Formats: sequence, C-alpha cells, structure tokens
Amino acid sequence: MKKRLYRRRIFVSIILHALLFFVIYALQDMILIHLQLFGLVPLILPVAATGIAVFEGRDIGGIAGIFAGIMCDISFNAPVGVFTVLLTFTGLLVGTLADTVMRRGFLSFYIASVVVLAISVAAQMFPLVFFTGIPPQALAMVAMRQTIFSMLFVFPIYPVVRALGRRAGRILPPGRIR
Amino acid sequence: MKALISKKSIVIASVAVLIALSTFVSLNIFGSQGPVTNAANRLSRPLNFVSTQLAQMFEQIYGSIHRYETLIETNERLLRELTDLQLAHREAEALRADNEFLRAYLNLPARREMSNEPATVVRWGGSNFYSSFVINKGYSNYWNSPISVGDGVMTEYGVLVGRVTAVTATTATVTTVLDTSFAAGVFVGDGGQSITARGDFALMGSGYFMLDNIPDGMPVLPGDHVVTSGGVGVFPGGLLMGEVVEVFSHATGLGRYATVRQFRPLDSIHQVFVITEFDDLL
Repeated sequence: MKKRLYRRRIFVSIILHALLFFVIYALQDMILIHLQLFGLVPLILPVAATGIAVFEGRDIGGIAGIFAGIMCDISFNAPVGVFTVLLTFTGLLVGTLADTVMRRGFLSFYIASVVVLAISVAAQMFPLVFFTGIPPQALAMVAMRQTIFSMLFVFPIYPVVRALGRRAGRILPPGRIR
Repeated sequence: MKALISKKSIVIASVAVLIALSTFVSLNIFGSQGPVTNAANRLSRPLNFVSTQLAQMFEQIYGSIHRYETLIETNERLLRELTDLQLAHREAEALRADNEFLRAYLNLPARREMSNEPATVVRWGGSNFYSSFVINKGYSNYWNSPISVGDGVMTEYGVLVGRVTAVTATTATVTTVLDTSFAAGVFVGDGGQSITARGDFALMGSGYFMLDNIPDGMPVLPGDHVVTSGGVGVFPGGLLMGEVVEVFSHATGLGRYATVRQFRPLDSIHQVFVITEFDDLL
C-alpha cells in the first residue's frame, strides 16, 4: 500500500514537471514569439531548468536540463545538440552547488539564473562571432537586453519551482533519485 | 568536485552528449537533423499548428479593428497600380509572343517554368540572433514534396523571403533574407550591374537587409526595386526582394551601402512557395 502511494506521488511529480515545461515552452515559443515585447523573445526555459536544479538538486536538475535543452534547440529551429548539452551541464552544476554549498532560496535561484542566462546568450553569440565574423560589440546590446528581459521571468517562475521542489522533497530528500 | 561526479550524473551527462553526437553525425554524414530533432519536431508540430492558427486569428481581429483606414488607402493605391500593370501586361504579352517566335526561329530550347511546392509556415525561430522559420513540408516521399537544402522560398506574390537550410521528413527550416548568413546576387532599379544583398545583424530587428559595396558609378535611389540577378543557379533571376529605403556612404569614405525593406513584414507571411526547380537560361 505504502509502495503504491509512493509510486503514485512520483508519477504525479513527473506529470507536474512535464506540465511546467510544457507551459513554459508554450509561453516562450508560441506566445512571446508573436508578441515580441521590447522587440525580443525572452529565454525562459533555462530559468525553469535552473529553478528545478536549485530546489531539487543535481540529478533532477540534470534531467530537467536535458528536456529544457531539447526544447530550446527546437525553439531556435536548430538541430538538437548545443543547448541540450549546455543546459544539462548547467543543471548538474547548479544542482550540485545547491546540494552542497548553496542555500536554497530566491537569491541563489536568481544569481544562478543570471549566470545560466549569460552562458546561454554566449552560446548563441559564439557562432556569429567566430564563424560569421560579426564583432561582439554589435551583438552585445541584444545579448544584454535578452538577458535582462529573461531575468524578469525569474519572479513568476520562483514560486512554482519552489512548490515543486517542496513537493518532491516530501517524496525524496533533495538531490536524490532512486 | 566529488559531489558533482557520481554514477547518476555521468549517466545524465552521457545521455545529453549522446543526443548531441547523434545529431552531429546525422548532420555531417547523412545530411539529416537526426532522430531526436525529427522526433521533437514531430511532437511539437500540433502545438505549433494551434499557436500559428491562434496568432493568425488574433492578427485578423486586430487588423479588422485597427487597420481599416490603412486598408482602404492601400486598396485605392493598388487599384491604380493594377490599371498600370494591365496596360504593361498587354505590352508584355505582345513581347512574349515575339520572343517565342524568335526562340523557335533560332532553335533555342524552350524555357521551362519554375516548379514550386506550396507550404505553410508552422513556426518562427525563437532566437534573437537568427532569423528563420519552419514550413510544413520536408523530403518525405509520402507527402510527395521534393524539397532539398538550398531551395529558394518565395511568397505567393513572387517575393523571395529566404532559402531552405535544413530538411527533415516532414518539415524544412528556412533561413530568411534578414539572417546574417544570407547573401544573393541582385539587380537594383534599371541598372544591369549585379551586386550583393545580404542580411545584417544591426538591421535584422527592423526587418531590413543590406546592399553592400555599391560601385561608385552605379545609380541606387530610395524606392528602387531589388530583384535577384540569377545566372548562378542559386535563385532564379527576376524575383523581387524589396525596395531601397536609404543609401549611405561607409564611415571610411570608401564605397556606399543601402538599406532595403521587404515589401511585406516577414512575420506576416503564412503561405510560401519553395522553388524546387527552375531554368536560369536567359
């Protein structure tokens, strides 16, 4: 009976995580892409993956990174690869920090999100700078605006990832999957 | 470091690296985007279809409320242009008949028509650094669409909007004329000299692209139409690309460049035609 309840909770938790990523993908790729507020499309999927890593630890953060990365690559009309690897590694790294030295809270989530967004924008700029030869100064303004705009989404995503983290924490200790 | 490296984290990282490797190998050996990209594209297709339909619906509602006056003005201007074009068309018909007669007389091969494949835009790229969209046609024999990488893409009005840069079984990615990787040989106005039109990052956000290195003696004026020059087998000649907005001198004082505007904002395009075959014989 106890085992059944445990499995059910795990299943519900997976569904809730999938729902979060679905909603954020829909928001980024289907709504904000048409609205183009400030002439930009924000990058929200890395923020969600980072939030999961902060509140649920290394392993779940890494898995969330894989899915967020695939969605990001698809959203950019690019072959799946760069963001899949990038967000998996940032998920693992942020999750490890949260499991060991970082305090799980808004400030750490915010700082981790800023760092991950900065790495993401650098990954987007890399081929343009090194293969197309566009000077980084020309890209810097768009990169900065994209990062700042995306950071605004940390506020609405925070309560959701914290609630998911607390729910998962009741099933398993943070950072551990069986 | 010890906390980061464990069996589970190595497995998770390996999965991500394997996905990326499979895509890399597929791209470089088989020329396709790989199984994961194909699967993810297929899964997202219904969602993108719904979102595109909703966006179109909202655009129509917004248009009927806010753009009524503009539409009346545009309609009047277009009626005037239609009258002029009908006159020009009659002259062109006579010239075409002469041309056909002379081609037959000189035993020149008959010109083939362009082969087009109609497609619908299903998704716009979400990156602020690139300009691309995805169409609902790929290489699949089931759908009988012979789309391949490098094909030009135009609107229903014959305006070139981009080039196919990646193809999956059921979708194709089109890089637009605004993207920094795009370049095409063009004629400007009545001039017979070919120059290069290319995407520019600084202009991409405004929906403009650039004519660079305009030769000194070449007349380029605001309002001039930009058409593809053809002749090198990439795009057919004579496809409209846009009109010149402004002409500038480079800061160095060497040469000029011009900004070019698309005839219609790219994000309002829903229906496109992929040029799968064309004859560039002059």
